[in-house]
Amino acid sequence: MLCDKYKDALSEAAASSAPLPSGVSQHMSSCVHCRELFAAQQSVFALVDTGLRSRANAIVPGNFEHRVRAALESEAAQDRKRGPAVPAWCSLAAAMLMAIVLILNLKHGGKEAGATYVAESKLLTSQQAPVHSSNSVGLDMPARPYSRGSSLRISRQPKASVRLHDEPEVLVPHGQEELLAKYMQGMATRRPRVTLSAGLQQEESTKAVEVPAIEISELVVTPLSDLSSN
Amino acid sequence: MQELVLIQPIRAAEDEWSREAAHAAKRREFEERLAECGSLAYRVARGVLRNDADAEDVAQEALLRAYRRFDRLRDAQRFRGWLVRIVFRLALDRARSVKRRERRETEWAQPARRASPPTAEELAASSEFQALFDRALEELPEKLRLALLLAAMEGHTLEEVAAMLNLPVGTVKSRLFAGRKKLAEKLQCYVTNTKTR
Repeated sequence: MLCDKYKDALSEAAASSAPLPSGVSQHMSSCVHCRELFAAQQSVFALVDTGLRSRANAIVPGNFEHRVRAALESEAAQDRKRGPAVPAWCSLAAAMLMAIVLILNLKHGGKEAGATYVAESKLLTSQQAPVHSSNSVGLDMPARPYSRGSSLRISRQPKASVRLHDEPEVLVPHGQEELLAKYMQGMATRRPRVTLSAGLQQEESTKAVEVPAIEISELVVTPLSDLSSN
Repeated sequence: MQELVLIQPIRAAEDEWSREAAHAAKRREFEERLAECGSLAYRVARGVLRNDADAEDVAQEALLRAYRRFDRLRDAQRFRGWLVRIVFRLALDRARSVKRRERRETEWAQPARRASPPTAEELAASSEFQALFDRALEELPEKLRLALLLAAMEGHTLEEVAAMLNLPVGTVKSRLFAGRKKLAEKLQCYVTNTKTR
């Protein structure tokens, strides 16, 4: 019972390798049991330290660094091929921005579809083919059909309204809606020459080129063989 | 209206060169670190895994990861601690997967994993102790285990271990004390048994 109160102090001293307190050392000088216990504790801690040291100080293989350098070389080569890395947050931000723009577009388009775009599309008759007048500034000619390469897409008419009115979707450069409407009216009344000037302030001096309508009265089809025999 | 893209070939070439130069500088700097800390990475991995091949794989993987993320390390002084944490984490993952694999294998094939050498009593005792020690170390909490391993490595002072773990010296001391004590408690039975034999 007397030894029990020294037990903790003994194990603490063995663990920390600190000198024993004077009271404990006095007791130990007279108690064989405590001396044995302390020696056992010390040997356990010595074993622990030896085990840890052997575990932690393994011999590094000679070719380890060489192998890592080789792996680094191939990694660096891949880096060079890949080019500059785009940080993950950049892609995430871009995706979020696109999503926000899409949502805003949808909301905005939904609100204005009934007002602006449907009103614009009403100007066109349902027989007219879809046109795109992206580069027809100042030219008296029908606009080209929408091509994929073009970056201009003004009309944001939702599908619902297209179905409702059965009118073609029209791609019009900004600020040329009225001109296009006039042009379309001209087409409807079979007046082929309606000036489609851009309406841009800086190009007011530009005169529209007037091209007379081509008239083909009769079309004669002759086979090539007939032409060569003649 | 058409979209116009301005291309400046000289600028592009300059960008390319500067990128190349940055890559080269990064690699040079990292190789210096590798020469300095490569063995530390291996030893930490070996301390957790107890297998040379696995330790080498894990240390290499950790160094490659560190290389990939080297740009993100703001304070170069913390490279050692940063690397140690990467290695330790990877080694723990590997140890877990090895253990799972071993468990699966022993479920299928029953033969004993390790046959202790039958002749030399000393050797048997030593390997028995090693197995017991390994188990005891594995059962320790990770933070204690890492502190013990780093402190047991030759040439590491308490201050260095504290810097690597980004902890105060006092915390490292208490972790070492607690770790050694837990290990000793687990090994106590072995020591008393061998003495009574």
